Amino acid sequence: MTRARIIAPLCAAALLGWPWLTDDKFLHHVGVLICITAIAAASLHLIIRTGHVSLGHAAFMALGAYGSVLTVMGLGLPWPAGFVVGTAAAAALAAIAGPILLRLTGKYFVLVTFLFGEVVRMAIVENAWLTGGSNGIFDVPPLNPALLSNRAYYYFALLFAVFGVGLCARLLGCEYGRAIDSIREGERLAECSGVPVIRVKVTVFIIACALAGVAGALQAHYIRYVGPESYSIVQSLNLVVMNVIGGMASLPGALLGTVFMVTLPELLRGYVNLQQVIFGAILFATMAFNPGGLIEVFHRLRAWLRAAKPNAIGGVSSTVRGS
Amino acid sequence: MTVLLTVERLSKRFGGVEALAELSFEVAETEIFGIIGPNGAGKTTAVNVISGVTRPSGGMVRLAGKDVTGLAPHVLVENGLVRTFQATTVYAAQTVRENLRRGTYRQIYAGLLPSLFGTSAARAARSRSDRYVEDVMHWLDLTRVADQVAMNLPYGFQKVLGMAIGLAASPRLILLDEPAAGLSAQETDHVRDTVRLLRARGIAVVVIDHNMRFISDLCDRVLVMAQGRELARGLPHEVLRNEAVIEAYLGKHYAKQARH
Repeated sequence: MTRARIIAPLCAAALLGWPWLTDDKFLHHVGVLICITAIAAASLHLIIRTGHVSLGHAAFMALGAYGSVLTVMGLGLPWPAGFVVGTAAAAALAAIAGPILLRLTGKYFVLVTFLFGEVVRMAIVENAWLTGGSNGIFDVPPLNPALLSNRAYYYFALLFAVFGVGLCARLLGCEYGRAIDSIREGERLAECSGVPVIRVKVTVFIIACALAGVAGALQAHYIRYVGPESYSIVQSLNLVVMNVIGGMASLPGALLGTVFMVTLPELLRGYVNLQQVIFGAILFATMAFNPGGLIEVFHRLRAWLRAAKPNAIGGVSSTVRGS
Repeated sequence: MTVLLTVERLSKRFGGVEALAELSFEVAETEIFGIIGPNGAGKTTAVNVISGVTRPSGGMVRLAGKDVTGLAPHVLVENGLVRTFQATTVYAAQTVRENLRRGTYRQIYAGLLPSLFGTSAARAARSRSDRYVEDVMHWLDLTRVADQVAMNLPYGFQKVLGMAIGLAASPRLILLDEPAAGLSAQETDHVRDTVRLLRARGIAVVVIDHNMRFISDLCDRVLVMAQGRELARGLPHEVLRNEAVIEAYLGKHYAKQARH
């Protein structure tokens, strides 16, 4: 508890303060992408925690993005209405598809959500009158002239990220989260303790897909363009990889994976071909040697540090407490 | 004795196979009722149909007078009927205490939003369940292994923990599917004593097994099944001397010997 009281303000200060340490717009841009992607990855993490790996999560981002952009540009409504419509569209599709999809298990769920994502993408491409087809929609107006700078949009996205990721953390941390973990670890057993398995899964799926919709809307109004290729299987797969690399069973793992997977390609922009090779190698290494993900490395490091220098660590923490 | 569970002409067909044919019986409150029979007799099908895992082809299940036929397992838990499984009876990676907390879902679940916002009702339900978990561990003598991870426990303990998870849901009736399968004699005794403790807490027990000694030691009444049908029913020592039962278990030859 005391440690959380020290660490939480430090994290908050770091998240709020770092954009002022640099004027590099590119770094601010990476910050925005991390915030947006963190919402999507954390929401996919919710679904993964119920025992289902969805390969169609980007489709729900697409719904949020198109829903919001079309509301703002087509109907001329203000952006909050766009965000609400986009989020509601993603949630509504999840509410329709969820009860069917979530009765599938294991690889069947993976395959069918992959197809589902492709169907949504194809529907966007084919209905050009509404969505602009494969060209997408250009010149999406900014939410507000004040949000045109990357730094300003970073704070805007951060607000949503804190809310979205916070919602995921709270959901997993409360009694409902206990039911979620019970379902993943022993579905039949959970059901025989009175957990309404399908209802919990569908509820979590709707919440997660609504959050993916928020991420999609945030992204569309940031890059001020929506196109079907942003929401293809590649994006869905990236979100899964973030969860795998970070650590499938923990939310901080998913966030760590997000930072890693967003930052690395941006830093390796000069070596586009090499990028895929490096990603492949990292994925292989993770699955072969460290299935617990990056968060596992962190935990092991901490355990090792504690074992190595118990006095030194104790000394540091007591100093911090004293100050 | 008031009747708690009534099973009336319960049937289940899988294609052309009649796994369960018009099975009828009643279980009284705080009774330990045994169902035995050779492999393929339909015991597990009976448990599956009564506990809502599979739907019956015909017949009726009543719990305390209420028709609960074909209800989903989690709805049956709300009505006070809980079951255990032969395999996968525990959350292997979790501690005993966490296993039991998960078992109390029915009592603590205050709804998604109260749970999310941590309302006082949700917090009260939570602390009530935490106390109840400690009680369950105390009753079944699991307190000393409370913080051990389930998969590190001996197999017999895991079976007992499986029953404790069932007890955590505070049922009126618990169905145990072969709780003594694959256990040593000593572990079997541990399971038997645990079942008696369940009854001492006012819970009726339906237990299924093919271990005759375990069943006849434990049960007030026994129902013998063969090929989906009732073969005999009554007090354990009576039933086990029944000629048809001996024939079903050991063959015609032994049934004749028993007669002479």
